[in-house]
Amino acid sequence: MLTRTKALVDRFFVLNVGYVGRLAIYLYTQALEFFYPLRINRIVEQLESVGFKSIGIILLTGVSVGMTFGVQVGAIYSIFGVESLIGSTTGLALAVEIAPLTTAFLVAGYYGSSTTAELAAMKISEQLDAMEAMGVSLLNYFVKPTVIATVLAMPMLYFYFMLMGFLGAYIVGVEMFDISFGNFYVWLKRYVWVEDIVKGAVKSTVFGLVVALVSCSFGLRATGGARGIGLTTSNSVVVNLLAILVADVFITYFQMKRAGL
Amino acid sequence: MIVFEQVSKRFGDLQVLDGVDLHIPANKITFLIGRSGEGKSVTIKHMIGLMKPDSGEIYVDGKRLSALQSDKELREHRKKFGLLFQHSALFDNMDVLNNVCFPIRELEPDLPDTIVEQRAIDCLSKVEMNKMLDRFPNELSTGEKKRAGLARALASEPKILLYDEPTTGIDPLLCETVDRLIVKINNDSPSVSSVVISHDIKAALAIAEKIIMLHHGKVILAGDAETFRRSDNPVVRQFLSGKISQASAF
Ligand SMILES: Nc1ncnc2c1ncn2[C@@H]1O[C@H](COP(=O)(O)OP(=O)(O)O)[C@@H](O)[C@H]1O
Ligand SMILES: [Mg+2]
Repeated sequence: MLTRTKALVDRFFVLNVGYVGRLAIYLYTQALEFFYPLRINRIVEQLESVGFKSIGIILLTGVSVGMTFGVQVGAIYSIFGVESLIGSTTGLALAVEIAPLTTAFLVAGYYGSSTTAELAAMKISEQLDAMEAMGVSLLNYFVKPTVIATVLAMPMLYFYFMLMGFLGAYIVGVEMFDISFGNFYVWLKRYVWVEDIVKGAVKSTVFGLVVALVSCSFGLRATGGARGIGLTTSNSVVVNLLAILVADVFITYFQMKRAGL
Repeated sequence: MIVFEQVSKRFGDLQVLDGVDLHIPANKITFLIGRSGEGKSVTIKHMIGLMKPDSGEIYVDGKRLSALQSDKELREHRKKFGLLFQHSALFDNMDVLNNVCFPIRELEPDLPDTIVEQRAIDCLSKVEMNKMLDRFPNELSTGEKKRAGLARALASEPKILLYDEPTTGIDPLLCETVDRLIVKINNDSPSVSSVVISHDIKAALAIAEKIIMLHHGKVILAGDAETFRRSDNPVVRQFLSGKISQASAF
């Protein structure tokens, strides 16, 4: 009896350790495969087009969203005489929801669409076939650099958007509702925690992944002529926006659940 | 060297290849002829593994393509080939020089840039394109694109060269240059094999060591120039007399 139990236990361990070992080796080789022929110059190129080119757009959008939201909230708060809360309300909404979502929409709009259109044009003119014929892996050349670039850039763009939003709200608070900087800042700090910013950054990272994968897969699968490129690009943008919204629902749900709400 | 056994391929309702059997000999120039839309481009895309047959087997150097398991094996297989696309397929975000450097850099990433560029320029001078290094594809004529595409196909010094209509759309003088170039490249290095898709039946009869004719998804005749001259197959005769080849040049 005892030996049989021991044999069973041994077997259990051997099987499971074997399984875990194999899994570890598999994951390791996959990770190597993913990172090995990492095309740094391609990543830098992509980072440039997703990141630097958006600085102006995000400045404008962030400030104006912060201002509009500040005005709306301020109008109600002034009824109750709590204008000084503009910073906290606007700030929290920006940090956990508005900034990640709007940033992702912007990136899907200008970077995702151009990625899809470029790949689609290359596909249709057989440039992608030419690359594959040279033994180039499209996954390594296009998909991975795009994924890495957006996943890195999106949280940074989010943070930048959020700061611009704070600025917009602050301008409104000071100019229209006579709050002092101290008052604005104290309430902002009291209600917007580092945790909220981490939540927003996590969302942004996932959105970055979504935009990269959707945009690349649409581009790589394009068919038809010039019409095909147009159609593929517009479909890609629509799917991007929907996928971001769906992802947002799930992430928000899990984040709320984790916080015990 | 390249063998097709009962290869079939269909796109939707269109049966493009319908049980193609063919054999492409090593170290020779083989012409693949047939009317436009008969599946010549599709055939060479199968050789390189850019398309997979619905049924049938393809062997290259004795290796069965359907047995290539990983992406890596497939990539290794593809590196044997240099392919000139029918519409050149130059990378339009790069100038001519970088288009030709691209396959060299892919194959030998550690080669210093000056050597890569020198090799690219050598290839470009073979097709008389060495004066247009910094032009972009949209600034080139069809013929110039074709020549740049040819230089790019040669750049990685492949064992098997596939030319998809290298002379369609370029002027007669240049046609001759390109035909001579195909012969020269094939003869200069004894281990190179060339497959040329062409409508130019004169060129085929003049320089091909083997001619394969596709018609309605099948090979209707394969052999040397003599076989074609002597054939009494009406489709072949019509093609030889130039009636169809004129009408189907595009
Ligand atoms: N990727 C594809 N999808 C659908 N149809 C295709 C595709 N590639 C080729 N075809 C069709 O297959 C037929 C043969 O094409 P092709 O091999 O390019 O002819 P050609 O002999 O002129 O080179 C054509 O009717 C073409 O429309
Ligand atoms: Mg063709």
